[in-house]
Amino acid sequence: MDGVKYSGISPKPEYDLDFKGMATGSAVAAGLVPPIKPAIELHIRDAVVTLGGDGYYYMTGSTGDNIWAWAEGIELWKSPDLHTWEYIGLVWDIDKEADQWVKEWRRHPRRTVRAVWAPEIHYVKGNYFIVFSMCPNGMGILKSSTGKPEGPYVNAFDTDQPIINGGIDPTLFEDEDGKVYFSYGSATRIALLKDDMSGFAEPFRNIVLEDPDHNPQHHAAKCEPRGMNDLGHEGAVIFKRNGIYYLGAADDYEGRYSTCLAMSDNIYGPYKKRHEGIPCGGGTNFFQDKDGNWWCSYFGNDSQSHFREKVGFVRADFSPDGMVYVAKEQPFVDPKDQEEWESKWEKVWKNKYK
Amino acid sequence: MKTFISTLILTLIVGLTVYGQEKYLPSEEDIKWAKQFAGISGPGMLVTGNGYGG
Repeated sequence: MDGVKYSGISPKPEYDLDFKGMATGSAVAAGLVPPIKPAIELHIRDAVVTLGGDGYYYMTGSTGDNIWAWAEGIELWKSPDLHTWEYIGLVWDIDKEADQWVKEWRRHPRRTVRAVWAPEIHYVKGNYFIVFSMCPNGMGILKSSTGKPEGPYVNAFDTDQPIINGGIDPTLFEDEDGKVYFSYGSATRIALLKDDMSGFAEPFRNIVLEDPDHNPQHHAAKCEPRGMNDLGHEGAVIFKRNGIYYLGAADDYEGRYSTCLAMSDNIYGPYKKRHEGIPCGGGTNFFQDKDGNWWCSYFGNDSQSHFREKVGFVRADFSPDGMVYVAKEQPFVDPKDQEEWESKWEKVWKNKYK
Repeated sequence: MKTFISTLILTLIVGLTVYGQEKYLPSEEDIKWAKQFAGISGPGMLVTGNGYGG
């Protein structure tokens, strides 16, 4: 099947449907990315997954035929094992449930738009929260009014306006002490939320990357004018493993749309050791499964990927000093491709951080 | 009269600042264009190929 850039329930011809040459799979051929199959044949960008309180995985992302034009709201999928997915449906209908600022039409450089960008579902404080942005900017936080992942979802903050001025790609992180933090965009700022999640508990703090990577091949062209001191330019990510905080943002790393990560022993940094996480895995999230394995969700957003705008899962591993890399064991690789993948892994990844 | 004109100018400036920046009113044609796209991705399908889509 060809790429599914616009393969929803009624694909339209406004944009080019042809992905030929736009998903060459060169990263797979080079052994940077395992030859995973998508988990489900579904048109989605910015796919993120959270493990819910009921033991199911929940996934959402930017959906619809054209996120530069129109979306009805936020959709949700459910899985017991990351392999089999069930469609829950449209859990937040903008026309029926959103505040007025969300419903309004906006002007994108291309044309008129009213679409959700990069919603993320998080199971924090024993409830389901969804952070979202509207194209081309403006962010909100929703909470389930029932404690169930399917909602209904209501505004979590004490405002009927965007939670800050501008911005896209919001994310949440719940620390081991129950504190929840918010970041967005290029992950240059982090703010603590109130315990009841009704607002920010304190002002944003600016994040410092102690040892920025100034190699222009490791950044999108738009990062160069501002000095390439950032992690990336969008798709903020926060997670924690073994006491180390990981902060990341998606960037163009040697032509791949990847989340570039850095580490710190303090949520507010300074962060250091910027590195490419999972090649071609930008704009998504990192999560742990029920067995404690780490994963990066993956949707394919560059020509080195072997598919685009579908959802897959790459298992992640960590070097002794905490660097993220592609794990050898990849359950989504077809058994017939396993031997070849492992051979490539030995050459590309085994000694990458030794 | 002078006060009235000053107030009127101030009101216009504030109004343009608020609504000129925040409100975007597209044409019916623009809305029709945007809504031609499917608003949802839907249930999805089983992966039948080798994963090398595109």
